[in-house]
Amino acid sequence: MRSLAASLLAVMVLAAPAPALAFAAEPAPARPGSAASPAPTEAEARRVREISAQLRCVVCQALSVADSPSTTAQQMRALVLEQVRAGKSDEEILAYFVSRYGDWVLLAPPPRGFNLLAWGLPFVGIGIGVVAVVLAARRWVRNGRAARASSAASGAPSAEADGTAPLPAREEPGARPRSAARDRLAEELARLRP
Amino acid sequence: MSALSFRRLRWLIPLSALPVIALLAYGFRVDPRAIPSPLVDRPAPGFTLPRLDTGEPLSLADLDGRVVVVNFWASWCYPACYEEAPVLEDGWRRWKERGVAFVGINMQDTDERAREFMHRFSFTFPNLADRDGRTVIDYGVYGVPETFFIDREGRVARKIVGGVTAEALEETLRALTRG
Repeated sequence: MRSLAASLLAVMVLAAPAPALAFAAEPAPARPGSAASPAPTEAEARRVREISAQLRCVVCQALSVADSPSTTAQQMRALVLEQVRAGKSDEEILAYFVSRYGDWVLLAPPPRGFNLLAWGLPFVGIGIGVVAVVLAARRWVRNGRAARASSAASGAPSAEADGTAPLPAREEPGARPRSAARDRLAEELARLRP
Repeated sequence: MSALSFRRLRWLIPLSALPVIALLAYGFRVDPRAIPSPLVDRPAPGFTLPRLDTGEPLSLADLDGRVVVVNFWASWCYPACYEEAPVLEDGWRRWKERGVAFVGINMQDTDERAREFMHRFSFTFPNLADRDGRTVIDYGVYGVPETFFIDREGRVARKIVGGVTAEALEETLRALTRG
């Protein structure tokens, strides 16, 4: 049960940062973009990279426009460069692409409305995980103490004494009768020990 | 928290599966290809591009007042573009006398292959070359084929992703030419 809950938590945490589904389109033959304009300066190239890194390559699976070698991405970078040269701000350029492709084109969904879920859930997941770990640790400590107390009281060979800890004492003393199989295992292990 | 109260809350653990199930139920119901275009109901972006056959420029503004079918295609887009090409040519022949213009926009292709394609399907409506992809991006095109229907007021009325069927073409043009 505990491992089920843990794996569900893991699924939630992993799934949360991927709010949009990837989409595949037809592959395009690679072809250099229009080379009519002069080569970008270093500053221009840096801005083009920064802006296109925030844009989703629309014909790829999980790639930004900055990282994709596809023709579409090349043409998009050329368009970004042109708008940079026209003196547009980063926000204006991103807004142009959003007006054509929707919020989907942004790799990081804007943090509003339903999208807030994608921004918040990972932290909620981490919070739940921390609480679960603290609760579990406290329980193990308490059970361990109870087991030590019971073995000291019964005078049985102490597991903790020689540091081998053969059996985890999950049940609290007297809470439930120990099973026959477990008793037998404990006896046999004790016999093996010099 | 005592062990007892922890056990009492155990029935809550399966509930943690609910958000995941809800997310999956939502995810499997939506069509990942049906990405809504922000252009629908907005003015269609203008363009001026050279015709592949004559090289003369054609503008969307030249077609003002008509219903316009704008189809994005490429010769490498097989089979969808090959399947819809006869539908488009047939639609053009039946609707051109009724105030409907058809415009093909060839993207990410070579002019030579594009002309071969036009010849193969005996295209008689104007087809333009968008060599730098400006119009393709202006229309928010993801892949080929995509078809936009522009109403008489110059607004994008509908967008079809994937091959256009004769039924969808008829139905949309009937609705747009009514009244």
